[in-house]
Amino acid sequence: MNYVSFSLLYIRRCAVCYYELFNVINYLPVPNSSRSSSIILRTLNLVGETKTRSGFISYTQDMNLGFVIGVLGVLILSHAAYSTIQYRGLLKITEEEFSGPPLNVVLELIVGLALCMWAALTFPGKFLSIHPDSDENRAVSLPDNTDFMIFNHRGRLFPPEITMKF
Amino acid sequence: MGSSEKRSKDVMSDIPTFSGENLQKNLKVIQNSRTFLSIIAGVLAGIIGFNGLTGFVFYFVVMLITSVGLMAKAGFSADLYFDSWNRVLFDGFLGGLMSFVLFWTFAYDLVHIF
Repeated sequence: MNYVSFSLLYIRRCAVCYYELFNVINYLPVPNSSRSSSIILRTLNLVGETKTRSGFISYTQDMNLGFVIGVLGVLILSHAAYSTIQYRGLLKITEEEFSGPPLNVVLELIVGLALCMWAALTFPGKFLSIHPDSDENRAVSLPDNTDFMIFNHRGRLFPPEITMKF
Repeated sequence: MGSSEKRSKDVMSDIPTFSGENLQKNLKVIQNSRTFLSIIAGVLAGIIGFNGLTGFVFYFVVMLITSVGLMAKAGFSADLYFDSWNRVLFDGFLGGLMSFVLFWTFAYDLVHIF
């Protein structure tokens, strides 16, 4: 009796701790260069923390559309699987060999594959330019750790090709 | 400012640099795409009922289509987003093979055996 109540109290304490931690984590400010571990969380919160000036809203909307299309593709694939299972049941009754899924299932599979491919190319995110001089990689704000920034590094040997843009 | 990697191939001429943080983000995008598509390819191979070598051929066909799709996503100019073409084309080829076989056997069991 004591053991059961103690274990229940322990589980409740752990659940409360995780709940509070979860709440605290959701309200922390998203760091600048965050490699977020939960893409779905970011999609639902619509927090698209990027350093780009343009395309801020379309970044997350594209991901949402890709997610919906991916779910649709998976649903179509599961429907095709169910149709194939039923087709095999029919073949067992008529005692024929299974040579391939029927034509409508093949069409469904092709449509599902196309949708999933489109979703796989758009949902994980856009490609970011790696040129430091491009327009979307401009440092529009200083990082938060200005106390630790040094300027006496080997970057001073670069040829100064700075064109001031405002 | 981020973290910039510096590659000094020739000190006298222009030193090419690129932002390593963005490169890693792009590689993560490629890896996610390939993993998801290898899972989908596995489910498809299981539903169609491939046996033996045909399934692996199907996997490589899907990976080739993925490479073409990624090249199209990068706008056919790898210089803007990666440091070499090899990363786009051949990065996660064999990494998704295990996931493909797993979901292939899983779907095959579901549809044809169970």
